[in-house]
Amino acid sequence: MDIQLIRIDDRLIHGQVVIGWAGYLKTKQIILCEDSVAQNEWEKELYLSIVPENIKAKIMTTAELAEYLRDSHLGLEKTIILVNSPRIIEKLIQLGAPIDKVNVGGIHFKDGRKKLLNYLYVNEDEIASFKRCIDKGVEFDCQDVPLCKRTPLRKLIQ
Amino acid sequence: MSKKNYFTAIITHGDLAKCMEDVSKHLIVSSTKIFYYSNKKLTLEEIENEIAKEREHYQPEKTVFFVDLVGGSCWILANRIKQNSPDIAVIGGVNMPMLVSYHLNYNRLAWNALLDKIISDAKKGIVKRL
Repeated sequence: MDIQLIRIDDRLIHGQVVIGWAGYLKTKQIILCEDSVAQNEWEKELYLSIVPENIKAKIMTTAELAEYLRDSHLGLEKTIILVNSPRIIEKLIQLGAPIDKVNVGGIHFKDGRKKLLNYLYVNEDEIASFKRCIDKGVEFDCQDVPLCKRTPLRKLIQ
Repeated sequence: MSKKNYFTAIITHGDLAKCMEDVSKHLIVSSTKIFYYSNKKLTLEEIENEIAKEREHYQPEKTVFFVDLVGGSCWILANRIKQNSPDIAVIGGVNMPMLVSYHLNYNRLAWNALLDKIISDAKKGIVKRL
């Protein structure tokens, strides 16, 4: 499988992804990985309805995506994978998914989160989760849209 | 102002919602108050909370959300508020002709006819001359 981008974005599928990244990378497939969305027909339909016709879209649970990533012969298309939190990346790794690079595209303000970048706010639990992933060899680069500056997350959470 | 009690909001990326509301006020006498929300100034959660508070206060019979980009985060937010409510309409691709038409026809047309009319006028406002 040709994975173009594994992205953390708490808005999941939205304009920056389908217009920004998918257009820039000429993506053929988007996989949204979030258990609560995968188990909710209404949410699934909403997210699938906003993906352009020329791009395939799938919604998977964390367990399903981990299996999919382990069996990389299952698909050969240019793919963007979306999750909404570093904890999902951590869980995917625990389930054996081979992940070495992750784009951090957006985690927005909520009480208890501190600002690292205009599009990146994190709380202590999220920082700890990022650090555990880094210790396992994952490289996180912060970049909301394709032509903006890329900032290594490591520098921001030292 | 009208006796109709429709809650009207523009939700957009950046400052577009405020600009559109400002421009429409200079073009035409407003028929109703239009609330505007920017995903630049507020998080989606804050927008959702503010809208919930306003709707609780006004108890509207109908609600319409104008959104700039179908598929954008504002679109997702508006649809999440709507869920399955038939009294809430979400309209994507808002433009100035749509807003002008909304003010012009707000008091004149019933709900469904109003929504059809403003979409039709918005499309008519897009013209190609070569």
